[in-house]
Amino acid sequence: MSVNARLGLWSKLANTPAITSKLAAAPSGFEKAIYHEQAPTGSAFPYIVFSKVAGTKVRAMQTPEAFKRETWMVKAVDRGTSSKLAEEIAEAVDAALGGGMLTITGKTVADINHVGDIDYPETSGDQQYRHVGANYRLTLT
Amino acid sequence: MPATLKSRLDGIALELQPRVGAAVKAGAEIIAEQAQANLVAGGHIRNDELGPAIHVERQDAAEYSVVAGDEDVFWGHLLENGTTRAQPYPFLVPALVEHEDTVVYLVQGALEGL
Repeated sequence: MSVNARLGLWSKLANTPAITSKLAAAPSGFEKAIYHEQAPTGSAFPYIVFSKVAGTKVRAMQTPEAFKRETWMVKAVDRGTSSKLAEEIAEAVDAALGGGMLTITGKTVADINHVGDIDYPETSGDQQYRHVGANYRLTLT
Repeated sequence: MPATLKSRLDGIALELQPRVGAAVKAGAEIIAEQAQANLVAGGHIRNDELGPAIHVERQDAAEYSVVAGDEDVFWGHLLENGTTRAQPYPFLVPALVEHEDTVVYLVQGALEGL
């Protein structure tokens, strides 16, 4: 199911103009600057990285997998000393996912909860990077 | 014959906070141990430094945080959430997700004894 959740999340992010209008152009072979787990080497900034953090199956009413909860991280990454653009992208992601409208093949998305912010700088050599986003918990039935 | 009612509310109120606090702290320690185990399972370089730096901090009455790092070991969040050069390796949030029901059971157990 994680495959479909990944595809559903990517599709939601990639088809939200308020998000994609703020992202850099994607490198050859990529449709949008929205990457699973890690951006390819040489990617332009800013971009989005999303990845699965955790998943649990919940038994209920004698059904082994009555529903499933998956936690996904979605964060914007930008280069520079200001977090402003990364924050704006993260807010656009939050608005898109906060609406609860997410299509995942084979499942019904019962709920999307913002469960925690992510906000930290990264220093590498003389470069600074800003990571801003959140963890989201999807409840799938 | 008149009935006499004795209130135990004062006693319960006195016991409530330390019992719940102890249960939450025990739950946080289980999550911290799981986070350490997740690091070991991932076979991460330098987990011998980060693992021991995962600890529980009291924030308030019956409120505890599981913290991955200290003044010397500062990269826990970079491992958890990733960098521009390394993909995320979540070890902390999965520990919380795995044991959040455990914390609820511990608190329920503490309340049942009142």
